Amino acid sequence: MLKTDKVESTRQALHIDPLRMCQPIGAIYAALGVQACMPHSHGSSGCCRYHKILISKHFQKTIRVTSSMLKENAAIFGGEENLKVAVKNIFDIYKPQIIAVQSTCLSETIGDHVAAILGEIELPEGKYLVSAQTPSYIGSHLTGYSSMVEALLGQLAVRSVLKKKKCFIIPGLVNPGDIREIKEIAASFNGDFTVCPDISDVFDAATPEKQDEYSPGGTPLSEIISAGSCELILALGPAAAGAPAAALSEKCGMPFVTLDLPIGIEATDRYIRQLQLFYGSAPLGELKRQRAQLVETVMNCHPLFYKKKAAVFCDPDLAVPLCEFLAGLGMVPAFVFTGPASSEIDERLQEIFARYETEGVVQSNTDLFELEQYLKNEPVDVLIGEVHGKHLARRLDIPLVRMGFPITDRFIHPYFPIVGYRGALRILEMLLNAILDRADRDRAAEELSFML
Amino acid sequence: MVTKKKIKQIAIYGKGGIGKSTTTSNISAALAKAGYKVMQFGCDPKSDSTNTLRDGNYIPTVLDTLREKNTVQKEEVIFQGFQGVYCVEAGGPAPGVGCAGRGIITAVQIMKQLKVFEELDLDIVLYDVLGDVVCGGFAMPIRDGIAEHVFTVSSADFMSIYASNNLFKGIQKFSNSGGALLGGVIANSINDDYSRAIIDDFANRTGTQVVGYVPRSVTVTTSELQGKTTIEAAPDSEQAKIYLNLANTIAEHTVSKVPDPMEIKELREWAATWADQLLTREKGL
Repeated sequence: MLKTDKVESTRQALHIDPLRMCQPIGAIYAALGVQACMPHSHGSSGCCRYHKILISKHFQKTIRVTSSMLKENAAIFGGEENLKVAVKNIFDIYKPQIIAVQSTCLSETIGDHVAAILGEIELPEGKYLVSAQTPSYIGSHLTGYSSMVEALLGQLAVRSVLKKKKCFIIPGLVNPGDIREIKEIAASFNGDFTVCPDISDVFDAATPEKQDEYSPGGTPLSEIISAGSCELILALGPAAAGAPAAALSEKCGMPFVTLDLPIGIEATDRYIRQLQLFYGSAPLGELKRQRAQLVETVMNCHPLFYKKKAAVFCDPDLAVPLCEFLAGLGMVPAFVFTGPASSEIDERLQEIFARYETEGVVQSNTDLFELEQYLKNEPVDVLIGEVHGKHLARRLDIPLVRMGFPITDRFIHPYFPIVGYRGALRILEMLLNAILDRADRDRAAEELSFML
Repeated sequence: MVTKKKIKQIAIYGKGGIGKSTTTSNISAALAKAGYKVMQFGCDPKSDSTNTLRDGNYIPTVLDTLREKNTVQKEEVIFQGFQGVYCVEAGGPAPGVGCAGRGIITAVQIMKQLKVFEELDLDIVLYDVLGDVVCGGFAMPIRDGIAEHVFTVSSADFMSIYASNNLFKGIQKFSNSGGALLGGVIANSINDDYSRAIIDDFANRTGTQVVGYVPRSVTVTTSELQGKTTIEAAPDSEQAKIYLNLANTIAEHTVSKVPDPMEIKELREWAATWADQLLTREKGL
């Protein structure tokens, strides 16, 4: 056990189990949501390997990422030659339609101007190159995701005067199961829409057998190029999708709306309402059925959640709607810890706490060590967050409900949603199972009951 | 048991264009002429430090050789010049790309690994380092116990003194981890008494000394245009004598110190007092 049991010192130069990951991880995540796209890491090979392994382990699937393999020579003379040779080799060997290059700490520090280098390359017919600056000494994996989506849209989308009644949906960093749910809800309106990046049928599809084959999923390039003809941009998750939506809006001249990820009843309601506003009313029989089922379930199990305390540690985009849902269940989101986030997260959460007459400690750009110190002073009933809370959960003997990114020690979870009404139902089940399992464990054998 | 000969390693810094390479090459030439075994190590991506020791010819650099062949052999990068001075150029990336600082670190490490200093039985190694200490790479010769003494070439111009003061900060920083200490200031382009007074005052304020005064001279220019040092092209000139004396002072120099650089505000105030004095002098008061 850690010796420190009270929050005493403020640390500026040290994070212990930080709630942030490298920018390129998010950039690769986003690039793989484009059809026939090869993410390319302009850095040393170890950099790329770490990013690749983390994503692979989250999905328990192999992914492909290429690397410029910058060695000492490149650190001194610049990585231009490596990048040019790499691009040629990638198009020759893996035959992608597009290469999405993300920079690294090394290439950013020596000052490689990736965009200028790529600009000098003569592209084969119908092939594309985009690049995003993703040094990991600023921001987090969400920043990298955001930068790569912005790069894809900013560098590929073409301004169009003719607009169609079509919605361009930019989801935040979520799982393929979530993307499917987001798409299914949008499809209820029988209107035209595109989701970009779209990792469904990528991370949850069979792995291609040949080296120049790609997963069936991913946003088609033609959809990205023609993004300018959409009438509305819908960003789901301010931290990950807000900036790309604003950039696309500025470039192609259509309005954008930024919403929370549709997690929980209210955030899903807001998503549906926004779609309704855009497409007009539609017969939403299935969505109504799901909502009614969810609302009734929430009411029925409310006593089991009432005043149960939770500590949430995850990305800001997940934290806000999740805490809104938890508060709505009657739970107390006692601690909300995130990685780098804008100051808005605090205001948003305080508003939610006030609305539900509850309160919690909100900390951004922090680490799990600090959370553990708080939890030693004030224990909670359940931990909700990514895999790195595992040790914390063991030490404090508090059940951990895995949610967010990365979850590298479990299988199958990315196939199921936490967004939408069905996702909310799944969250309920996960939370309740954790709380009830724990209650059963603590009960004496003669007190164990087969009934709830 | 034979005691290992101590090689005197000296780094020479200063603002760009102040005459570092000219001064260093003349010192190298003078030392060689006096019978010392000398190596001049140019730590500048422009790789022209040793030109005047080799009739204006460029030599292949350590980093270019590394880039082309992935390994570096001694004979590929060490060349002899005037009076047998060993010339080495670190080299570096093209302007605007890569990281020259990392290049200097790599080049110095390669030379260390090759153990050339011991093998060539050198007496003195002179590092001619670009500019002031802009990043960690350019501090390489003065950290990790590579060079022992540092000299800075400076004119009486404020920007040159500013660069020297920055160098002193670098030396102070590394001084408690085995870094080089300051030998003194080589005052360059000193043609009148007030320039001399300014540089003397600066040395005094920062706890160091001026080891030599080099006037601006057309002999240097004509020698350089012939691709030679003044020592080689005009051995009997007044200027050559000045360089010989300077070289002698440096060869005999033994004790260096931690300088006491001025804080930026202090430096500006100090410069302002000199501005007042010069104005007063101009008005003939």
